[in-house]
Amino acid sequence: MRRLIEICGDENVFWRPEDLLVWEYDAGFDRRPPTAVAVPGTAEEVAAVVQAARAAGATIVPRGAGTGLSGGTIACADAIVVATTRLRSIVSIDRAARVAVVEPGVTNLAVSVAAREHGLFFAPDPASQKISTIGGNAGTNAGGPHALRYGSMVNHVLGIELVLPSGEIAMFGGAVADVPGFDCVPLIVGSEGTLGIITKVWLRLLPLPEDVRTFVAIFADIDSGARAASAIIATGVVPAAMEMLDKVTIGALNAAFEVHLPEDAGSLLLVEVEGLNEETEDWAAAIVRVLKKNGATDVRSAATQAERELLWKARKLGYAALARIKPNNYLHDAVVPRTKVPEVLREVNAIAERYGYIIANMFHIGDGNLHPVLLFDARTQPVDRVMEASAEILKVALNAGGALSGEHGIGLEKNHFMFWVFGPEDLDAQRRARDAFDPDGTMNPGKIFPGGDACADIPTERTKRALAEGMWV
Amino acid sequence: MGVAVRPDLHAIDGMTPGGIVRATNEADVVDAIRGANERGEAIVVSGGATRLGVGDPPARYDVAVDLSALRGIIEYEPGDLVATVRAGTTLAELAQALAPRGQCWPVEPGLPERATVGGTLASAAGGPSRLRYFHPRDWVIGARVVLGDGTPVRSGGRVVKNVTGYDLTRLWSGTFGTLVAIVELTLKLTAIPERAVSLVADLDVPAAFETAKQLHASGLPLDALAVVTGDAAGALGARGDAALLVRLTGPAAAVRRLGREIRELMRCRDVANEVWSDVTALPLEAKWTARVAWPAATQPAIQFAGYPAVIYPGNSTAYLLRSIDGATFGRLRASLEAVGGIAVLERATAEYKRDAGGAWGTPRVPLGIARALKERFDPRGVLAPGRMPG
Repeated sequence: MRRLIEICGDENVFWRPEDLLVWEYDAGFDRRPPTAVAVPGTAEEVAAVVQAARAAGATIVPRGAGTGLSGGTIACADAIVVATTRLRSIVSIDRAARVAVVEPGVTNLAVSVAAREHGLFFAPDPASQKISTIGGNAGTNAGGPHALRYGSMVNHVLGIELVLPSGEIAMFGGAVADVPGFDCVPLIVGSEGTLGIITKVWLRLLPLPEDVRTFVAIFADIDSGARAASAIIATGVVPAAMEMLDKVTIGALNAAFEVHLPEDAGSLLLVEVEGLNEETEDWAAAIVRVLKKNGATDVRSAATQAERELLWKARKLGYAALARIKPNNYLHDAVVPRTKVPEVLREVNAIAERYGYIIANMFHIGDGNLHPVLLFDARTQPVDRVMEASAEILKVALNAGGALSGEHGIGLEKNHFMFWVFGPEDLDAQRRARDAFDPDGTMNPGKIFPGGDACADIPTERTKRALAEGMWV
Repeated sequence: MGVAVRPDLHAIDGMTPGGIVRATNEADVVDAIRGANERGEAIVVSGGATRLGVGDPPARYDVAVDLSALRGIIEYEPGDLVATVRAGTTLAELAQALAPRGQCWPVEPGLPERATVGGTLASAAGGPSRLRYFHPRDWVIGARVVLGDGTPVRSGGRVVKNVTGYDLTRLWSGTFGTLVAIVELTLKLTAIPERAVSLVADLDVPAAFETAKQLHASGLPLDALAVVTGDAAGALGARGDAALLVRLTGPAAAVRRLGREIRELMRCRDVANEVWSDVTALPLEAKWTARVAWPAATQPAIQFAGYPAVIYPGNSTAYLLRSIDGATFGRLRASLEAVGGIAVLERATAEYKRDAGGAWGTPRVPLGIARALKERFDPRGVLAPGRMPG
């Protein structure tokens, strides 16, 4: 502790129980206090903290803004949390190269705002973008609605400066393409802090589109909306974003914002196309044709920039609006092949109904990334049962050829379910990659990989294991 | 399928393998790699062998494992814009399978009749598609591979967005068959644009670079942008010292408008879209090729006037196509590396590479990590030992 204070300064190290309270949870369900929290101010301080922790035999949990949804930043065992929120400078924006160099504590939105001044934008736009950090976005391979056209963080991170578990500061990739040596950048992106601590990131920026068209298509039910979305993808015209909102979500959004979405709609699709005027005109016409052919009862365009921004504000703050219905929720992030979305949604909603939960669906339907939100009241409804329903939902998605997580990560929420996706050799190959960076397992232990005991004292851990092993509790 | 196995196709820098295994399924690859582990042999995995010589010569070369017969589409779901293919499927075969549904894999490594999907990822192949569609690894979402110890392993999946554990699929990108043998890939696809038009301008070298810079800075959505210089330009039928090539794609109205705007910026004429096949073949067929790249804010110290090269200005990358003397290359590499750039010998003799201090130049990955990855995935060093740094 003394060493941490020497490195970071007294005001940037937390260890009193009352100070640790805010560091014991993320945006997911689990909580557990760390031993201590260090908030270094430079990459060198990060490296010194890692070395000090190593010398003391402590493990480390890297953390950004704590907006993660899968427990990736919850400290297990004797872990010290190292937060990167003080590393928040935008180092440079190179307009000609279309590259931004930023520190990991910079928020996602701050990059977009800074890029805009140069006629550029940063594509990944998770709903948490106002507060979530670039370091955390990279750690979880975050996406957001516009990942549909532009891809997730892994498609936009060009280089990473990383403090290795040894305490050494290392550089991977960069603004120049295909530098000599193994390309570890896509391995580090999405590794959820298990390979080191990111201290600088080289990001790809894109030219702002000339025109953006946003429209809302209304459907009588979820099924027709989902089939229309699949039909749009099948045409090959990939919108910039395509989101589905169901009836429950629409009600919550109308109550929270002045969006005036049709209350009687069974579902709606929020679709956006971007490009040259000639492109958006062509694509919008093609998409509207498909929407109408597939049962849209109405298609409305956002007439003004203000209207468009309101729609997106409602979408991105929609998760919070759901608290008006029930105080707690359990959100999943499974992805399924796009052609399977209609049938999977039917099964997911049937599961919720069978368990008696209100379910809200507000998700990235264009890339098959479901976000079923089970709404409940933890004061009267046991979380174990919600988790059981969630596990059934995961199983349905996997049976359809899907994946456990599209953009939130595995963390400690879904690590035991990794056995449902990968065989022992597949998981062992992932472990080999981790061991190449962190042979002693000091970085974020207990996350991603199933079977470990580092997080065994997390209350929900026993339930998750039992569910993953097929022993329903 | 009857592609004859020609030992010379597998020669690397004058080395020929003692044996050739022509794999037709994953089990063949597993057997070959396990066998090599047992016998202490070194393997070089190849696809279409269009970039087999990239990298340092392997320390040993006992067996060539040729995957060009491990080909074919395993699953194609047009509604998902996803296809799963065997690694030895050529880009041409893939394009042919996807075209009837109006779809494509937007990666353009050159020599599509030979280049394979697996080789394209394994060698992180460049090309004009890098401008709009970026890296080949951005269009790969799942893989089956055989590790250096003979273990078959699956990664990723069939969905376009995935953070279910480590992204090993993309880690295999650019590993040149030194960590794993790729046997199957699941690809993300896109729609073939309604219209594609290519334009060429005959310019002198400075004007070509200046115009290319303006075009890129305009932010107009160009599909491809290249400058070809020296006798390479002549070979394309260009009439000046340099040919500036632009490709425009999209809905017909968008392509018309882009064409109008480009013609305001430069005098140019239409050229058949096939010109890009010639452009991409140049670096693969030259006797000597060096790939150089530089930070966009800097200028590489290269006199392109009268010198054959293919340059992709939007990516700050160039392929130099005529051998320069070793001392000059050494100075060029040093000047590029001093500002964060690179100079990689993609096609050169073993002697040239050795005298230059290696094919790659200074590695940009911590060597401790590179070695640890190699040891974990290929513990006995059977996969092209010495080809990559580390």
